[in-house]
Amino acid sequence: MTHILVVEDDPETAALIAARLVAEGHEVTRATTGREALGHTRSLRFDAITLDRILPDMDGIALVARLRAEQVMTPVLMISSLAEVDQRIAGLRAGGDDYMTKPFAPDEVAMRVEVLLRRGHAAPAEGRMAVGALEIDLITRKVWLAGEPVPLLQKEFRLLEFLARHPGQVLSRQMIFEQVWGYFFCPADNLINVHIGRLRRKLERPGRPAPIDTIKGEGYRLNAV
Amino acid sequence: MPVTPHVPPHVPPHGPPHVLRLADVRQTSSFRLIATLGLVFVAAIMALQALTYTLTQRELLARSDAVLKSEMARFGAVPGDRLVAALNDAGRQSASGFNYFALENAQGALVAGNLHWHGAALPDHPLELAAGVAAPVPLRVLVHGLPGGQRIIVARDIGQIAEIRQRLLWLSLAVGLGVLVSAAALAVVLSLGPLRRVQMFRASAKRIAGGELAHRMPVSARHDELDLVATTINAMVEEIERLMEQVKGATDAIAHDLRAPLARLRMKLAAQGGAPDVLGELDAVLTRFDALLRIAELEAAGRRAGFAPIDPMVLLTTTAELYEPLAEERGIEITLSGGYGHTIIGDEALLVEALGNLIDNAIKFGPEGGIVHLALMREDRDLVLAIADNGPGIAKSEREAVLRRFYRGAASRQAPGSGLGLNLVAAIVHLHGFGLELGDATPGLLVRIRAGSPPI
Repeated sequence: MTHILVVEDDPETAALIAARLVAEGHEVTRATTGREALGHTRSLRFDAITLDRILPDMDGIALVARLRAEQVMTPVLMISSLAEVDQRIAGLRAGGDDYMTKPFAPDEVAMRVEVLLRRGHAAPAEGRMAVGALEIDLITRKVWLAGEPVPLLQKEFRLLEFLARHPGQVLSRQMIFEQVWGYFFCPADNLINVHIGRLRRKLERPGRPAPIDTIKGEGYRLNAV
Repeated sequence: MPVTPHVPPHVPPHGPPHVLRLADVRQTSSFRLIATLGLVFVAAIMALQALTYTLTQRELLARSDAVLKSEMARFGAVPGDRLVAALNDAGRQSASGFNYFALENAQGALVAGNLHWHGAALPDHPLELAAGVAAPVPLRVLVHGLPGGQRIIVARDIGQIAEIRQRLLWLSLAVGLGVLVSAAALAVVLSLGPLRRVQMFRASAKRIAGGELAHRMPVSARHDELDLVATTINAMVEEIERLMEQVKGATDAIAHDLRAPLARLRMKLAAQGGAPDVLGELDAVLTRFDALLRIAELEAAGRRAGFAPIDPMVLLTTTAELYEPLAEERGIEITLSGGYGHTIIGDEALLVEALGNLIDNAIKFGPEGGIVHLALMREDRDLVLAIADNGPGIAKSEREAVLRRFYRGAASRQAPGSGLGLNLVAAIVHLHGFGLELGDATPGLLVRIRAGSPPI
C-alpha cells in the first residue's frame, strides 16, 4: 500500500484530499504545519507528499527545500492559491515535482498523485513504448497501431506520448496542457478536447474505437488494453 | 490587409550600451557651458595678444624711425659738396652692417654709400623692406629728396624687431591654441561626471520601470541639482511602491480570503455530488476570480523576469497551431502572413496567452466557415501583430468599452467566457509596453498589437 503525506492547514480541504486518496486505496497521514510534516518525514517513509504552499509556520517552498536538504526525495505535489507563473517556477525550482493551483477537483489531486507515484514505471529505457495495440518509437517518433503505421503531427505525437507514459491513468485537461504545450494558463476546455478529438480520429479503425476514453468532468485516459 | 512578406530584420529595441560617446558628451549642458566660456576666454586672450603685438611693434618701429630721422637730419645738415664723403664715412663706420646709407643721383645711380636699392618711396616716410630685397636682413628705410633730383637713403637693420614680432605672433597663437585645447579638455572632463550620473539615473529608471520598485536613484553627498532631481524621483518611486504594495496586498487578500473559501465550497459541493448547474455557476465565478487576480497581478507586479527575445512570427505560428483544431471544428480557417527573423522582447507564455485569447474570440464570434487572419507587419519602426476575423466586429462606439472589465458587447452576451478576455490581453500588452488597437477589418474585428520601442 502506498503511503501519502497530506500537508494542509485547512482541515476541510485536507479531509477532502485525504478522502479522495483513501478512496483510491492509499494510506494517508495528515499534517497541518510544516514542523509536523518534517516530524513525519523524519520517522516515516512516504511515497508521495501533497503540500499546501502557504502553511501557518512556514512557506511550502521552504519546506520542500528543507526536505530535499534532508535527503527526502519523495515526490512532492505543491498545491497553492498563488497561481502566478513565477510562484510555480519557484515551487518547482525548490524541488517540488508538480504544482497545481486552487481551486482543484479532488480528482485532479488524485490524478496528479497517481502520476507522481507511477513516474519512472512507465518510462521506457530503450526508446520504445507499447500500450495495448499501440507501439511508439520515441526516437524516430513513429507510431503503429496493430502493426499499421499512424502518421502524426509533432504536437499529436507529444500528446500521445504523454498519454502513453501514463497508461490507464486519467489525465486532466490542465495536466495535458501543462505537459504537452508547456503553458500554465487555463485554456478553454474545448481547446484540449479538439486536440484529443483529432488524435482520436487518427487512432480509430473500422469497428474499433480509438483507445482514448473521455472521463466526463475529469479528463482523458489511454487504455492499456 | 497590408502584408509585408519579407521585412528587413528588426533591430531589437534594447537600451543603449552604457558607453560614453563623444556625441553624448557634446550635448551635455556642462560641456556647452564650459566650451562657450572657453571660447570667450580664448577670444579675450587673442585680443589682448593682438593689442600687445600692435603696441610693441609700433613702439619698436617708432624708436627705429627716430634713429633714422636723426641720421637723416645729420646728413641734411652736411653741405652738398661733403655729402659723398660723409655718406661713405658713415657706411664704413657701420662695420656691423647695422646701418645702410646711399646717395643717388637724379638718374637713380648710386653715388655714395653701401645700399643698393633703387625702389620708389614717399620722401620722409619710413618704409619696410623684407629680407633679401636690398640686404639679407629686413630693413627700415627712410628716403629724403634733395634739390636736383638727388636722394639720400638711410636704412636700418630691423632683424631683431622682426624676430620679436615673429615670436610675439607665435606666442599668441600657441597661447590661444593651448587655452582652446585645455578649455575643450576641461569641458569634456567636467561634463563626464554629470553625464555618468545621468546615465546611472537612466539605468536606475529602466530598472524601476522594469518592475524593481525597491530600486532607487543614486544620490551623491554633493547635494547638487542632480541630487535634487534624484531625491524627488526617489520620493515619487517610494509613493508608487507603497501604492503597489497596497494593491498587491489587496490582491493577495482577495486570493486568500475570498477565493480560497469559494474553492473549498466548490470542492465540498462536488464531493457531495452537487448539481452540475450549481457547480457550473460556481466555476464561472471562480474563473472570473482567476482572471481578475491574474490581471491585477500582471498590472501590479510588472513581471518581466520571463522576458527574452522572441520571433513574433514563431509566436503567431505557435498560437495558430494551438487553436487550429478549434477553428477547424467551426469550419474556420486560420491564415498566416509575415516573415520570420524579427525579434521582440517579451514573455512567450504571456504573449501566447494574449494571442490565444484573441484567436479564441475570433473563432467564437466569427461566422462558421469564416477566416481568422494572423499577420506580422512592419509599420515605421514598429512590428505589428494583427488578428483579423470576418465576424460582426465591434462598433466604433463600443471599442473603448470592451477594454473595461466585465464589459460584454452586444454580440457576445450569449457566448461563454469571463468577459475579461480582452482585459487580460490589454494587461499583458501593457506589461510589455506594447500598444493595443481595435479596428475594423471590414467586415470583422481587427486587433493590432504594436510592438514598438519599450518605454525608456
